[in-house]
Amino acid sequence: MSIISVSGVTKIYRQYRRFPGIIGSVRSLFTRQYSEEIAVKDITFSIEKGEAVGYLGPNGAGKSTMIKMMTGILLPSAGEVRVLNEIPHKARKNNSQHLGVVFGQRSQLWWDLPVTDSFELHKYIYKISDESYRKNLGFCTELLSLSDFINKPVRQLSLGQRMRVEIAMALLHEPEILFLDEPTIGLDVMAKDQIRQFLRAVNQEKKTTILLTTHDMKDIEEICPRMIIVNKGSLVYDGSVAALRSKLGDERRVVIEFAQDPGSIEISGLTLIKEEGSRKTFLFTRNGTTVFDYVSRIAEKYPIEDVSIEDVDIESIIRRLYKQLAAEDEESQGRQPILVGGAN
Amino acid sequence: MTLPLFFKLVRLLMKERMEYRADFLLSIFAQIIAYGGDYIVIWMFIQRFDTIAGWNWPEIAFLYSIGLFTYALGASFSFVQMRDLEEQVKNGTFDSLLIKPVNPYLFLISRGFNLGYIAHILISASVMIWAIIQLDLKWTLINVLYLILSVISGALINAGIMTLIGSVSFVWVRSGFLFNLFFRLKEFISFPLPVFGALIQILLTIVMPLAFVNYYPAAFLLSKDILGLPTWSMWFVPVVGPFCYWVAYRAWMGGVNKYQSAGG
Amino acid sequence: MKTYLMFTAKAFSNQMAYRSEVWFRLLGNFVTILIQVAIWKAVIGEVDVGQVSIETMTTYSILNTLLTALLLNGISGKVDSSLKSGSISSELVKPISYPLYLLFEGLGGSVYQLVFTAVPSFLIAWLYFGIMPPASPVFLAAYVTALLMALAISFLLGYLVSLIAFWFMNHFALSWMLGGLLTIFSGSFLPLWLFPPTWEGVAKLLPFQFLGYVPASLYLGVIPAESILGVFIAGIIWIAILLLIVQWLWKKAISRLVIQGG
Repeated sequence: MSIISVSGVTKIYRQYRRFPGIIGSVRSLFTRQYSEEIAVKDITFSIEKGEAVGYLGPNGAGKSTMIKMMTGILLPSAGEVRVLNEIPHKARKNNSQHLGVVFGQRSQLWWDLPVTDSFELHKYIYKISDESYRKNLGFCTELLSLSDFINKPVRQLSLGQRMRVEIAMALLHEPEILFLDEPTIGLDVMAKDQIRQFLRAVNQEKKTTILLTTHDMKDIEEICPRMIIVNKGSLVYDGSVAALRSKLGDERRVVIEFAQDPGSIEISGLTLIKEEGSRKTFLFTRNGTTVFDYVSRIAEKYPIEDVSIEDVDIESIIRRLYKQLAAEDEESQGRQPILVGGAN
Repeated sequence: MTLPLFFKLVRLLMKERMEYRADFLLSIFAQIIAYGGDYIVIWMFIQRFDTIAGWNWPEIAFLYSIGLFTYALGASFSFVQMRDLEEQVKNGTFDSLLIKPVNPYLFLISRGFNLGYIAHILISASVMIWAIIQLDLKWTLINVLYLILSVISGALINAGIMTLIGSVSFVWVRSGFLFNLFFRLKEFISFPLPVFGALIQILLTIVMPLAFVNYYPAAFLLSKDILGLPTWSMWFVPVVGPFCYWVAYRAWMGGVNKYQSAGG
Repeated sequence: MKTYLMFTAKAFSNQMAYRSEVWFRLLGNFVTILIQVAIWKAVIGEVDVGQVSIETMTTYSILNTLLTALLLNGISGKVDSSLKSGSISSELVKPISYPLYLLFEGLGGSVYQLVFTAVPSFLIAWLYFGIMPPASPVFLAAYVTALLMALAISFLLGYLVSLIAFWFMNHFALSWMLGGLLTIFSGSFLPLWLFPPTWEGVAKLLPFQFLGYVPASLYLGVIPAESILGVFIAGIIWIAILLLIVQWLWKKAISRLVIQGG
């Protein structure tokens, strides 16, 4: 039984139109026009207990809307969402006892009071027993190093500290699923790193199911083996990071360190993209032959000291995916998702 | 949502206020001055005209004080919460209420329980006590009970109307202007109801039952004749408030449902 | 100048965005006038007090209800929120005068209120309650002049409060206090001539009367023609005093802001 199952879910918002300018605003005194905007379009997926899934997409792709439907905040316009085998909206109060939710930009903390006050209130609201409160707080305090600022008023915390506190709070009641909406946005590298390590630990040690939306591919690479990509409301990819790489990441970067600078060399199938003396970087596109064939062919002619083969990073893969999607959109105005599939 | 949780929240709210103690005291002082201004204007007015619709200064002071006192009670768990709701809905902070295992309405009003109304309470209670002494009201058990029940009911009427206005946030982009209108309408009950024409009297009794906040209870307690109504009709007063509040609560929860299906 | 007028236009069209509110505001004004007229009706006739006929008091109530809509009341709130959010520093580095920016933006709101609240409310009130004509063309001119003074004084008072809030950081309390003083001393409900003598004496020494009593009394001709000049001189003196205080506080506030870094 999947812990989350989303089938054929669509969400439509209604937006009232405003007219620009002075004349426009007079006009809006008398008319009320609206347009419908499809935020989520016929999306289906399911998540098993213990998975960690990254939910990706450009701005306005409907990521937050999906989280809101799974947490019971919003109702789908069509289709069915089931979380913990319940309709989230109907079982909202009961389900929320088993869900942890972190909305990155919207704090639930008491601004002027020490962090512990917010925690204790949370303990009260979620009826957490003394023992498990102590245990969970200890776990979070240690791994997120909260002890330095746990007695400070929230207003004095840095953004990164605040986010750590928010995440810790969402875990105090040992939720089965943790939803995070952009947990690392706007944070510095150190804070990002700590949060990622922590979330990975939560997923692996506590077997908490994690679903997070993000812009940052690093989040996905370090936390989530699986990702779901949405664009303009539709699901465009659901599968492992590796599978997407093999689908789209058919390019490799080959860095060859020659014994001596061979001058400019040309080999069909390899494109020279960077030259630093005897160190040259080629871009390789898969086409039947393997990278090693090329390398050995080069090695026959020129002595080679070292070779490294790098995958193109996932970020460029995603960028390529978006570009491809945009191009297809322009061409056909087609509505079919192009890349659905890929295991799971 | 339980009573202990409410007290827990109040404790935190008090702690939060005490972070800015001087500010808090200054605000209380300022509000006392502001409401003192209202009392002074009415006092000067009656200095000139002796009575209005047969009510003298202590009687008007009593009437006005019940109005202010019940407003403060009702507003402490509705006004700011409901006024800020439109903003919360717009920027999405409202959502965080819906992810908690609590009744969102009860949590919202308790989380925002406003200790700032202490100034209103202080000044209106003082004037009310002064007026009661001046008026030589009989402290019979029934009178005391009636006053307490009326005050609760009046607070619930005020809170009910403001809750209803708050629920508009789920439907329209803005609701603030309705609060402005409410404050204008509330001016009606600063004066005895017979000052106004029959239509207004009916509206304030049936449509927006503000007359039940202070005029009817004060008139019964001061033994004023109300259109020859029988004495037992005074017991309508304690019922109207809970009823209004219940209607408003249902409407508010209905608004949440609409918000959940329409979404932002 | 063109820049500042742009702020006025912007504030005007910003307000326009909320259409349903116009009707509610008209209703609100109507309610306020209705209440005041009913109160005057309830007392006039039983008691004979000089200068109080129901027509006079109706007109007085209408004029003051409409005036309240026009005054620049939002200034201190605006400064307060940019002070709290810290956006004040970015407003101060713009190559414009901050007070003038506030003034012109406020005026945009007033123009909006004039067109969409005051004028329609006036028409409704005129049809429903009846309004006396101005006492004479001279008094009408004096009334219009007094209106401009009221705008200036309301701006300066609001601005003063927002400057004091630079130190007290409690704009909330300060604006409540100002509100209390205005309730009593502006005479916008109870005209100064009905005050007990001591209170009347105090009220006439304060600037708040220009935000209620003075314009309406000029319109009605209650203030005798020979006193008009004296009233205006008092008004100008008040504007000058407030300007001086505000200028002085503004300089202090800026240096305080620079030292504290916003």
